[in-house]
Amino acid sequence: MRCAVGTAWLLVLLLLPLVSTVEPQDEFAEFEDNEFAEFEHVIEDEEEEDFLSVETEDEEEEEEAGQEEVPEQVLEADFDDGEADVQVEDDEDEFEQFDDEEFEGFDSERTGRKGRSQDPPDLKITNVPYHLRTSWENFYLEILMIGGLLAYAMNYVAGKTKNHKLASAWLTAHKDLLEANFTSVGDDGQGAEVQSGILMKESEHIYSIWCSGRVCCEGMLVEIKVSITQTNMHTNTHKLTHTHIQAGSAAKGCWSRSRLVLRHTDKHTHKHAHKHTQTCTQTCTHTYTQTHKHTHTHTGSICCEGMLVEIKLLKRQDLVSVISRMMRPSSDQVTVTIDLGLSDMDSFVFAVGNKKTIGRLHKDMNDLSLFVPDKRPGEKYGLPSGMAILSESGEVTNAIIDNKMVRVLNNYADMFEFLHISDQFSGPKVKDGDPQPATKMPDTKKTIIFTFNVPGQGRSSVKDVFAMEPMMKLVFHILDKVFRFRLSKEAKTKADKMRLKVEESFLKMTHAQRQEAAQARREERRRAEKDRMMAEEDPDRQRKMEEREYRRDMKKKQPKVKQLKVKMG
Amino acid sequence: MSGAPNSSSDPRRPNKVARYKPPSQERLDDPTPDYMNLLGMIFSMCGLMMKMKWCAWAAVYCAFISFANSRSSEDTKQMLSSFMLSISAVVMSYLQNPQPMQPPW
Repeated sequence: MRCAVGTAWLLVLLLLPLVSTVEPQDEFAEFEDNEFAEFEHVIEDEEEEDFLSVETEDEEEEEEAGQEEVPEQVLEADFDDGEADVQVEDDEDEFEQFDDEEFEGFDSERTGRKGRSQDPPDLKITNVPYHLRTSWENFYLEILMIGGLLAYAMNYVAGKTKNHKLASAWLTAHKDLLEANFTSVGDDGQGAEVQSGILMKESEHIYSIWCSGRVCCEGMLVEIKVSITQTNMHTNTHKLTHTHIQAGSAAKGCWSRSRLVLRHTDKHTHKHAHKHTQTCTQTCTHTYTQTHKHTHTHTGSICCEGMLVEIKLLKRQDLVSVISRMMRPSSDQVTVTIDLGLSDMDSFVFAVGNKKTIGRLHKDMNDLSLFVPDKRPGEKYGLPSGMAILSESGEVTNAIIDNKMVRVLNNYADMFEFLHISDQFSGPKVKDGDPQPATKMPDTKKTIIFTFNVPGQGRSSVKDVFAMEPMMKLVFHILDKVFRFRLSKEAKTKADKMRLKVEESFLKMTHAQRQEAAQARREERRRAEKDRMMAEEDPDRQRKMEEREYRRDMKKKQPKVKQLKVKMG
Repeated sequence: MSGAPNSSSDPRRPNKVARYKPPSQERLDDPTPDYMNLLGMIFSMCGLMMKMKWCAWAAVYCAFISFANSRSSEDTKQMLSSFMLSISAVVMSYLQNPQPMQPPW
C-alpha cells in the first residue's frame, strides 16, 4: 500500500509541471488520507500566506527554489527504499527546529509551478529598439549598395565583352591590309621567336598591335580600344603562324636574289652602304647589318622601323565612366604610331587635324611648340572647316596635303582626328612641377602619329570598325609620301638652322643647372675619396693617400700659374 | 603571302622585323586606378577605425573601379589586397554593430 502511494506521489511530482489545468484543491484532495496530511496542511496554510509574497518577490523565489529542491529529492529517494517512516519522522523533527520564516519560499515553489502552469509567464517584455529588429526594410541602404555593386559587375562583364568584340573586329577588318604591308603582324616581344597575331591587352579598354618588317617603316603600333573574343584569337594565331613560316621562306628567296642584284649594281650598293653607316649606326641590329646590302639594292633606303596600333576604346567596363559619358559623349580611338629610321624622312614638323585637338597639341607637344610658330586654318587647302594645320614650312604643307589627302579628309572628316609628323618627336612637354628639370636634350625620334575616331560616337558597332579601312590606307599613303619627300635646299638649311637654334637655347637655359650638377658630382667624388682615406687603417698608407690628394690639388692649381707665366713671358 | 616578295611592289621586308619593345617609361595616360586605390585605402581605414559604414562601402566601390580601370601589366596582389581591406572593413563594421547603416546626411 505504502509502496503504491509512494509511486503515485512520485508520478504526481513528475507530471506536475506538465498538467496545467488541474485545480490545486483537487490535487491535494487525492492525498487527503495519506500520512502526510498534516504536513500538507502546514504547506497549505503557508501557501496562502505566501502566495502574494511570491508574486512580488520573484527573484527571491528563484533563489530559494534551489534550496527547496533538496528535501524533495530526499523524500523521493526514501519512498523508494521503503524506510520512509524513519526518514519522514526525522524530517519532521528537522522542520520543527527551523523557523518558518527561513522556509518562506519552500512551498511557494509548488504554487509557483502551479501559477506558471495556469497563466502565461509573467515576463516583462521590454520593447526591442527599432533598429535592432531584423526587418529587411531597415537595410534599404545596404540593399542599394549591393545592388549597385551587382550593376557595376554586370556592366563590367558586358563592357569588357563589347570592347573585346570591337578590337577583334578591327584586327579582322585590317588584317589583310596589314599582312600585305608587314612581315610580322602582332608580335608581343615576349618569346625568343617573333610571334604574330597577338593583340596585346594593355587594359580592359586599350589594345595594341605591333607590326614590323616593312620597307620604309621600323614598326607600327596600332592601339585599339576594343578586344577579341576567345575563338577569334585562336583562329588568328593559326593563320599567323602559317604566315610566319611563309615569311621565312620568302626571306631566303629574297636573300639569294639580292646577291645577284648586288653584283650588277655594285657601285650603287656601296654608295648606299656608306650613307647608311653614317646615318643609321645606332639603329642597326645584327640582322639589320646582315641583310643591309640586299635591302638597299632593292629599295635604295630603309624607312620604317615599326608600327604600333593602339586601340583606345571607351571605358565600357567602368560604370562610372559610362555614366559620365552620358554627359559628355566621346568616341573610341585608334592611334597608329610609326617609328621611322633615322634617314627615312627629312627635317620637318607637321600636324593636321581637328582645330581643338591641334590647339591642344600645339600647347603640349615639345616639337610642335618649338618649331611651329602659328596655326593655320585648313580651308585654305581645301580641308573641312573644322580642321587646322601646323606646319614648319609651306613646302611641307603643299606636299602632304595632296589631292588624295584632301579627298579622304573631306569624305571621312568624322573619322580623322589628327596626323602628326615629326623628325624631332620627344613626346609631351615636361610639366613645370617636375622636381628634376631635364639637364640634357630629350631624345628625339622620327615619328608619324595618326589618330582616328571610330564612327558612332561611343555607340560603335562592329560595322563601324570595318568602315575604317580607308583610314589605314591613308596611313600607308602618307608613310610612303613622307619617305619620298625631300625639302628644297633653302628649306632644309632653314630647318637645320632652326634645330641648331633650339638646341643652343636649350643648352643656354640648362647651363646653370648642368654646372650645378657637375659641381655636385665633383663634391660627391671628393667626399667618397675622403671617406676611403679615413677608413684606411694603416697609417702609412693613409699618409700616402693624403699626400697624393695634396699633390693632386696642387696640380689642379698649377696650370693657371703656368699660363700666367707664359703670358708674362 | 606566297612566294618571294616582289622587290618593287611588295613593301614587306622579313629581314627588317623589329621586336616590340614596351615603352620604358610609364605613360601618363590614365591615373584613375592609382587614385582609386589610394582613395579606397583611406575609406577602408575610416571604415575600420571610425566605424563609418558608408566609408567601408565606398572603399568596396573604389576597389571595383580601380580593378576595372587597371592596366593588365599591373600587380594583381595590390588589387587583391585593396579588395580584402575594403571587404574586411565592411564585415568588421557590421560585426561590431549589426544595425543598418544610417545615411551620412
